[in-house]
Formats: sequence, structure tokens, C-alpha cells
Amino acid sequence: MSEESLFGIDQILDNLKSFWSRAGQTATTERSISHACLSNLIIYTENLADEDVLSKIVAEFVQKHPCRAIVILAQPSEKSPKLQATVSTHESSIGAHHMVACEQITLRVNGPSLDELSSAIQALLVPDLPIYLWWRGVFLNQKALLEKMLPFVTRFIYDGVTWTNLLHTVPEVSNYFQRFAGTVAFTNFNWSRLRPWREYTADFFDPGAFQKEIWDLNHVRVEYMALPGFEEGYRFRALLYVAWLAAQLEWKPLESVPDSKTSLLRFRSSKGATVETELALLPQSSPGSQSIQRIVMSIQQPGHNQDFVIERDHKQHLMVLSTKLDGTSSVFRTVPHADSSNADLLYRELGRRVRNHVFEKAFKMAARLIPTI
Amino acid sequence: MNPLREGLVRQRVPEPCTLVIFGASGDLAHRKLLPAVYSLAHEGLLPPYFSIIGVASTTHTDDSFREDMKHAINQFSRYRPINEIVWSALARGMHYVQGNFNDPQTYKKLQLIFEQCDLERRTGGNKLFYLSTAPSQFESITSQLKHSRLSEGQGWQRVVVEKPFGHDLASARELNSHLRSIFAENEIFRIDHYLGKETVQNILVLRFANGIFEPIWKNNYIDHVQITVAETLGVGRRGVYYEEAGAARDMMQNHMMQLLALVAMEPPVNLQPESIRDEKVKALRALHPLSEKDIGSSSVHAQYTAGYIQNERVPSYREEEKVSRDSTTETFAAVRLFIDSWRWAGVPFYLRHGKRLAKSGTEISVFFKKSPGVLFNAADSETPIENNVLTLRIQPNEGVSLRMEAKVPGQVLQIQSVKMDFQYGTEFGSDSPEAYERLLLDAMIGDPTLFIRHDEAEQSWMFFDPILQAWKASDSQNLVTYPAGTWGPPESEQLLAGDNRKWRRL
Repeated sequence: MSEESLFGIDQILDNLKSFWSRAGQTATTERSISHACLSNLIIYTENLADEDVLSKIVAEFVQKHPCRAIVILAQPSEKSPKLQATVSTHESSIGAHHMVACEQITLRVNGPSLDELSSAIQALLVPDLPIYLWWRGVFLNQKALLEKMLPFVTRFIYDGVTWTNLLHTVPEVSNYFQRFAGTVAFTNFNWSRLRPWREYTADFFDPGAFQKEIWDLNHVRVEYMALPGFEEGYRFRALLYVAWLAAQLEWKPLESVPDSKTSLLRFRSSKGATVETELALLPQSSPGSQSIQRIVMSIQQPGHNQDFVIERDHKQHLMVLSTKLDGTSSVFRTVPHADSSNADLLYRELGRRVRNHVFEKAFKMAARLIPTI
Repeated sequence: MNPLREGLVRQRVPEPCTLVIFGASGDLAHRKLLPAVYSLAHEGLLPPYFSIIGVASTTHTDDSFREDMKHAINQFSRYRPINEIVWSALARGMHYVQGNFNDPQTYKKLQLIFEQCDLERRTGGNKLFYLSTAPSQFESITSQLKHSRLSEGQGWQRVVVEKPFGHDLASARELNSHLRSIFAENEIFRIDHYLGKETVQNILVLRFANGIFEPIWKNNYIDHVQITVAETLGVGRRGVYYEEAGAARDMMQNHMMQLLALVAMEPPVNLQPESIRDEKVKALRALHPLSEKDIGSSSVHAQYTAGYIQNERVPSYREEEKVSRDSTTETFAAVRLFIDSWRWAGVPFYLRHGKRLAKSGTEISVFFKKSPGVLFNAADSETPIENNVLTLRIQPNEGVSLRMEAKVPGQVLQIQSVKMDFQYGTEFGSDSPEAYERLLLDAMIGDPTLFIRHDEAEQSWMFFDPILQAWKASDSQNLVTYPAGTWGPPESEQLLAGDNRKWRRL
């Protein structure tokens, strides 16, 4: 990262232009520099401590997906008007002699200036390219600003793990889904982090494996841990997983039996059988432990018990997939596994140009289940 | 169909299978195949139930074969150093059969190992045979597979055949006929690794996913097309093979004709494999055959003499290892051809390939017609203008560029060519999968889109056969040469100069 200085908002584009002009003049035959841009990525946060973290995320992200990053550090509670910018660049090497550079514009904005923010951002966007808005924190706290920004955004990204009042939040988010369904695609990182679990679940039921057994599943247990204060967000992630299974396998919700540690949800399968699912909150095994730890899908029938188990092995950074038939276990697959960074999650999501219908189906199912757990 | 696959990255997943590699101790297996298999395993793209059986004459035990492959993966894989967990899962299903490809005993041993793998690894009888051997072994191996009944049975059987597919039209037809007597056409995967390259696959996207190009992709707007595959390398240790093949058989008849077909084909009705391959073969079928008289004026072939590549002296072709001292094999070939179709009538395609040229690079350049001879392009203009050129760079610096004309700032009207440039590495990073990864996965899935159909191979030979025969007849009298480190013989420049054109400088 290089070249950082403070500007008024109207000077930003001039400053960027002169920066690229200087970069062009300093290029040599041994070292060339290209300016690359596939999209506009706007990141909004009200946590000033995020600044360094976000710069690192952007630096990692632009290596795979060059873009113009506009980072907004907002302090809504500050009463003095302020809207100032700094400009910096991230450079990455392509081969021995070539550098690719992307810009990051950081906007610092105080409460009274939040009204100007939306129009200021629109002046800074690279034309023709998609516009992604990643909202760090609870976006429902800034509805007025959100209402101004969503109309020009291509994809809205948020992290549902920060949600606290699911009963209130989920219907509100569903409302945004409906209102902007034609123009905005939605990404929930709480869903994105389920991707490996969904991949490994699918692995069991491919042709040549246990293709037929998928329709006989009648018990699912999702064991998860939560960081203190985020219990609801992690429970929602586990619920999204079950909701995804239910939506894809055409299970119909029946009832639920909530308690403090375990939520029991019942469904009717497409074969008419009862499917029981459990969301089980485990105590943290260490201070940082979080998220789903183990999933057991089972067929429990008289004389026939079969489990499909996906389990994290934290020590060896593995995901172990195994099957258990009438008491006998065998390893199905062992896969190296590391949690995705935010930059990875962004990269995967931004590769998708259209709305994610599978997510939307799962979210709709989860929204239906929320009042019952 | 697995309903849980909807929306996942891995929507296409191969069924459990055994990959049988004939020629497993060879260069291709070491450098490309096993590293590609390992990359697929690393990315979780292989089926959970999967095994590999290597077959070759080299002495190996299962363990020493595994060690050998591990070493190769550590040396050539995209994912280095090797991940022990991924490797050990892969190695557990890895076996070796030592034997002669012509010996029925080899196949008895293979059958036993295969049955053991099938049982232990639950591969459902599915087999993918990969013929990574000299072409002379293809018929023998496949015949033995038939006699040992390995080419049939429970599950699916597929065979991947490496190029060259024959050395002329007759031998290509014979090979096709033989393969099709044992396997169905949809079980035969003739591999051309060029088709696995991202930039080659991008030709279809560029043409058919961009509304601006297809309307002008025709003789009304295109002046001519150049396809160049230039190499600074010599034949290296491939002297024996190259003596038999030469530049046209090694590169032009297969890789370059595939590039030509992708540039010239009509839009397919959909993206189904047969729809795409139908259109490619139609383009090849429309190639205007060169008469004996035309061959002299429409083609050039030559051989390199000693010279300098990047300040280093390199020997002549005849001085290369395992090359005859009076060899007449061509190391350079250039051809002008026409396609007799409504779209391409009158548009020449110039193909050029050579070894030991001044620079390495593979590209397709589409030259558009100049604007009409008025205004800036008037006959008396002091600012003559150039063609717009759309260049698809296949390798290196994969990307697309467009040359266009622009006014030089100032009081006087001056026009200069400028370039708009898109580079894959800059926009998308440089970590694309290797061509063999994509192609192996496609073969396991059974998707033949990026493989060559029998009639594509034969159509291509049909065009080149007379040229190769005419070249052979003329060589005894007059072999054209070019110094290493140049762009080929002067005749190559004259081929275009006669049409008031010139080769694009790479």
C-alpha cells in the first residue's frame, strides 16, 4: 500500500489521475505497472478500529479481483460535519516484471455529513462496472442511508452472524429482498460460510455414492459453537443449513420444540416420513471456537441405521467425512479445510453475477421457521 | 441428479472411477497427468472413490511408483509443496502394473489389480484408460483391452488418446476405425491440450457473448486472419518423434486447425458438445482444398540452420540430438488457406508455425478492413491509416488487444495506432488451472466438448495430406532454410507480401 494523503472529496479524482500519470512515467522495461478494475467495492463500517483490518482485506482481495475500493469509516454519533478522503493504492506482482495496482479511497464521515455520502460515492464510482456494497455491522441501524444506496447497488453484502433479534431482523431483511428483488442481489456471509458444509453434504449423495439414500434421511443433528454475544447469529447459520436441506429436499415444516440448548424442528419428507432436525449449541472448546463443528445426517429405520457424518478436525485442519452403517464406521473422504477469509468469501460471491436462488429459497424457509424456534 | 448440488461451485462431479495410465513412467505422466490429478484432488474435484493404475514397462513396485509420482507432483504441480493428507488419500488408491503393452499377461495383471481396486475403492467398474504412449502403441493397447474384456463390463469405459491421431489421412481413418470397433465414439476422447487452455475456451465467449463482435465477424468487415504459433525452442530430446512429424503434423494439423475452427465456426445452436463440434467440423469441411499448383504459391516450409536465440548460439536442426544429418523435415510451416463459406468467402487465413523463431508466442490476429478511401484514408492523405486488429493472445500474456487509430494531440492532424489491452493475469490473477486438469475432469465426467471428434481429425488431415505429399516430393530437390532466431525464411514474408499484407510482429 502506498501514497496516502488527505483530500476534500472534490479533489479525489484529480489526485487519482495524477497518481496514474506518475505511475506511467516511472514504468520501465524491467518493471511495468497496470491499473486494473473489475468492479466498485464499497465497504461501510462504523467501527474505526476496522480501518487496518479492512486495508488488509482489500489488499488480499484485489490480488484476485482488482477493483476500486471505497472504504467508508462512519461516525454517526459525531456532531461536527466532516467528509474527507484519503487515497492509497494496493500493488501486487504478476510475474517478475509486472505490477497490478488498484485504488482504495477511504472516506471519513461524521453524522451530519451522512446525508451527502450517497451522492459523494456516486461521483467516485468507475462507470459501467458493477457496484458491490459490503456493510459491516448491523445495517438496519442506518435505514435512511441504506435506502439511498441500495437503488444504485448491484449486490448488497452483509454478515448475519451479527444479528441479535432474529424474530425482528429476519422479516425486515426479507422485506428488503422483496423490494429490491429486481435490481439487487443479496449476499449473507453467514450463508457463504456454509459453502464447504454444503459441498461436503452433497458429496455423500452423488451418483455412485449414496444417491438413493438422500430421500430416506430422517434425522439431522447440527452441532455448533458460538462466540459470546453472537449466539443468535450462529444459531441462524445452523438454521440456514437445515433450511437449505429442507428446501432442496422438499421437506415441509411441521412443528418445533425449542429449549435453551437445542432446537428441535420437524418436517414431513417428500416420501411422507417425519424428519427430525436438531440445532445443538455446544460449549466453546476454546475461546475462539465458533461455528458448525459437526453434522450427522441419519437414516433411522427398524433394522437399518446409517449415519453420514461431517466433522471438523481442528488439530489437523481437516474435514472428515465418514459413514456409519449399523454400528460400523468408515472414512468416506478427508479434505484439507481452513476457514475462508473475508477476502475469499468476497471473491467467491462477486464471481456470481446473478441472484443466488438457492440462498433465497433457504432464507425463505429459515424465515418461516424462525417464529417456531 | 443430486438436488444438493444446485448452486454449488462443483456442479459437475465425476462418478467414482479408476484412471488407468498407459505409459505411466513417461514424461507426460510425470509433468502433466499426475500433477493434474493431484491438483484435482487438492481442490476436492475428484470423486471420493477413485484409484489410479499406472502401466508401463519400467520396473516399479506400487511403493516405488508412488514415490516416483510424489516426486513428480512436488516438482510440477501448481500446489507445492505437496499436502501430505491429500497425497496419502490419493496414494492409497495408486497401483502399478509392470509389463509390455503387447503382452496379454500385462492385461491379466491389470484385470486383477483393477478388480481389487474396484472392490476396495468402490469404483463401480468405471474405467478411464489414458494412452500416454507412442502412437504406434494405440492399436495394440486397445486391441489387448478388447481381448482381455477390460473395454467392457459393469460401469462405463472411456479411452483418452493423445495426439497425433495418425500421420496422414489414411492412418487417421484406420486409427479411428480401429478405436470405434472397440469403443463407441462417445467413449473416445481425442485430447488436444490446446482446447483445455482458458484463452482458447475464451474464443467462444469473446465471439458469442459480446454483441459487438459477431455482427462484424465476416468477410464484409474482416480483411484477413493470422494464426501464429512461434517457438524459440528447438526439438530438444524429441528428435526421433520430430523427424517423423515435422512442424505441420506436430502443430498445424491439430492445434492450429482447432484454433482456426473456433475462429471460423458458425454460432452453435446451444452449448451441447455435439452442437459445438458439428459447427467446428463444418468449418473444417469448408476449407478450400489446395491443388498441386496452389501448394507452391500458398505454402512455405523450411528448416532452421544454426543461429542465435537471445544472444546464445544454437545448432542447426540437422545437428540436433537423434536427427538425421541430411534430414529434410520441416521445422517451419506457413500456409494461406480459404474457407468456402458465405461468411468467409475471399478472406485469407494465414497460418504460421516454427521452431527456433525470434520469439515465443501463440496468437490469433483478426485484421479488419480499413475505412473507406475518403477523409483520413484518401489516396493523397499524409496520414495513411492502419487496419484495426483484434488479437487474441493464447500464450504467453494471455489476453485480448484491439489496435485502433487515434488523433495525436496538437494543431496538426496526425494519426497514430494505439492499443486497448485486456490481460487475463491482470484482471483475473494468474492462477488458472492447467489445461490437463480441465480435460481430465471432463473425460471423467464424460463431457467431450473440448475433445476432437473423429470427423474433425479426418477433415483436418484431408486438407493437409496433399500439402505434406507435395512438400515431401519437393524436398529432395530444394530445401528452404532459415537461421535460428529469425522469423523464418524470406518466402514466408513473400507469401503475404504478394497479397500486399505482412505478418504481425509478435
